[in-house]
Amino acid sequence: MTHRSIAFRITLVTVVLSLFLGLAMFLGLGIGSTSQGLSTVWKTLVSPETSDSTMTAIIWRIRFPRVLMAMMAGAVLSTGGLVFQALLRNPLAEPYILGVSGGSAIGAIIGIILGLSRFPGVGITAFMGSMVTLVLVVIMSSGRSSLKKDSMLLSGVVVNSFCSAVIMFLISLTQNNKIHNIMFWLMGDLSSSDLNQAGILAMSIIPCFIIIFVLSHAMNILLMGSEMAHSMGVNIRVVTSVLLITSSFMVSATVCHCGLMGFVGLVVPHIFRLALGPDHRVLVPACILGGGAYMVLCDLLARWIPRQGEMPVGVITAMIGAPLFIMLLKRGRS
Amino acid sequence: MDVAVSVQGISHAYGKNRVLDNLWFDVPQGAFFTIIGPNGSGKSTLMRLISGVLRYGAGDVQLLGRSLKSYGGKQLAKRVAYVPQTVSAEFPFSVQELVMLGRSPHQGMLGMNSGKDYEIARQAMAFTNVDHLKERTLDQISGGERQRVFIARAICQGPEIMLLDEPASALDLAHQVMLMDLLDRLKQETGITIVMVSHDINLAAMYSDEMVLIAGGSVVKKGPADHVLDARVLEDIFGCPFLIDTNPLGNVPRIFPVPDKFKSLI
Repeated sequence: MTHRSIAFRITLVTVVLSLFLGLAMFLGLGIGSTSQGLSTVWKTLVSPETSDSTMTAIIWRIRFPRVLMAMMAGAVLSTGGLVFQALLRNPLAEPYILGVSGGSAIGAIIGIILGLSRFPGVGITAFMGSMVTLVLVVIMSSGRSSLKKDSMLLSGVVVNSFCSAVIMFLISLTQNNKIHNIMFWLMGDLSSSDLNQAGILAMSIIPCFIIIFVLSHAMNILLMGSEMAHSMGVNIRVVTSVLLITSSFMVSATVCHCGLMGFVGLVVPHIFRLALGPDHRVLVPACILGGGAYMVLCDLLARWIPRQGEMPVGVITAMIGAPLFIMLLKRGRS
Repeated sequence: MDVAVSVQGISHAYGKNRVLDNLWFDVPQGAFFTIIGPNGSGKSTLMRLISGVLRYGAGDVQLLGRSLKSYGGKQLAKRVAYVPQTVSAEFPFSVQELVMLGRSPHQGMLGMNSGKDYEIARQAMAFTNVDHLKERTLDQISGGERQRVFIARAICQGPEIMLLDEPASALDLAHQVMLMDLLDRLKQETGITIVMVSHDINLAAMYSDEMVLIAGGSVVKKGPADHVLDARVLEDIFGCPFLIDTNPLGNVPRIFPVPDKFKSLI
C-alpha cells in the first residue's frame, strides 16, 4: 500500500467511490413508494422525453432533490467527523456527539422563531450556535492530556443534553406554526427537500471541502501532537482554527437544511480508516464520496422499511451508529 | 568555532511562577550538547523555547546566527528538528508513512512525495536501522524502535540542529546506549549539532562534548563533563550527597548519589 504513490491512491479511491456513489444515487432515485422496475427508471433517466411524464416528475422533482440533499448531508457529516477526530486526536469525536449539531439546531430554531428567512438568516444563527457549543466543548475538554479523551466525551454529553433541553424549552415557549414539523426535523428530515435548497447547500459546502482537502496533509502532521507538528513547520493556530470554523460552518448549514442525523461522522470515517489507513489526503475524498453514498442508502432504508409513510433518516443512522460507538469505546478502554 | 544555538538572556514564567531567569549559553556547531538539571529546573521549558514551541518574551535565541523569531515555520523546520519525549500513536500510521512526514517542510501543502523524498526516507530508515519495520504501525514496535523511527523522521527534515527531550528516558539500559550511539554516529557522519535534555547524567557524560547544568532557572556550570560534574555543586543543587570517580571506560567522570544508609561511609 505504501509503495503506491499518494496521488495514485487518491485517484483510485476517488474513482471507485464515485462509481459507488453513482450506484447508490441510482438506487435512491429508482426505489420509492411507487415501485417500478429499475430498468424503467434507467430509461426515464437516460431518455426523459420518451418516457411517462408522471414517472419523470416523480424522479426529477421529488426524488432527485432528496437524494442530492442526502448525499450532501452524508458528505458533510462524515467529513466533519473526520476533521474533529483529527483535531481532537480522538476517534470518537463527531459533530452530533460533540454537541455541535445540537448547537446548530438551537441556533436554527431561534432563527425560525425570530422569523428570519431560511437563507441566510437561519443559516447564520445556526452557525453561531455551532461555534458556541464547539468553543464550550473545546474549553471544557482542554487541559491535562490524560483526561482529555473521557472529558471530551463527557463535555459532549453535557453540552448535548443542555442543547436538547434548550430546544424543548424553545419549542414549548412558542406557539409558532412555523415549527410544527420540528420534532420530525430534529431526527433528520429529508422529505421537504427541493432543488433550490440543494443548490444553496451545495454552494456553501463545496468551498469547505476544498479548504479541508488542502489542509488534509496538515491534519496528518497534527496527529503527531502539537509540539511535533509545530517543529515540522505547521502553523497550528491557523490550521486548527480554519478547520474548526470550516467544519462547523458546513455542519450548521447541513443541520439547518436537514435536521439532526447522529453518528454518521463516526461510522463513515471509521470504516474508511480501517480500509484505507490514516492518511487524510485519501480519507477526505473517501469521506466526501463514501459518506454521501452512505446517507443516500440510509435514506433509502428510511423510505423503504416502513409499511406506511417513512421514518426520519436520523433513526436509521443512529441505529447503525450507536452500537458501533459503544464497540469503539469498549475497545479503546481495554 | 561557529555557534549553532545561542541562548541570550531568556526568561520565562508560567503565570507568576518564574521558571527561567536570564539564561545565557552557546552551543558550538557540530557538538553533542546536553542540558542537565534537577526536576523543575526548567530544562523542558528551555527546550520548548529553543524549538519555538513556546514563545519567549525577554532575551533572544539565535539559531545558526539568526534570531529564532526571524524564521518562518517551514524555514525553521528545514534547519532544526525536534524529537519530543513521547509521541501519541492514536492513529495507525506505518513507520514509513511516519518517516516520510519528516519531508513535509520541503513539500507543498499536500505533501506530494517525489522520488528524492522516498530516497531520503529510505536512507534515514537504513541509518537508524528501522527499514525492516517500515510496513508496521507504531503500536506494533517496541519503545526503542519507536524512538529510532522518530529520529529517522527528524533526519528527513534535513536539519543542521537536532533537539531531543529525554529521548532515552523510557528505554532499558541496552537500548539507551544503542540510541545514544546512534545520535553520536549521526553527529560524526553528518555534522548535525545534537542538543539534548537528559536526566541520566552518567550516560550524558559519556557522549557529550559539552554540558550545561541549570538550576533555579539559571546556568550553574557549563563546559566539558569533568568541569560541570562537581560533587559539591551537585549536592547543593540536587540536595543529596554525591561521589564522583572516573568511568572505567575512559577519562569521563562518573557520579553516584549516596543513599542515606551509606552516608556514614563518606
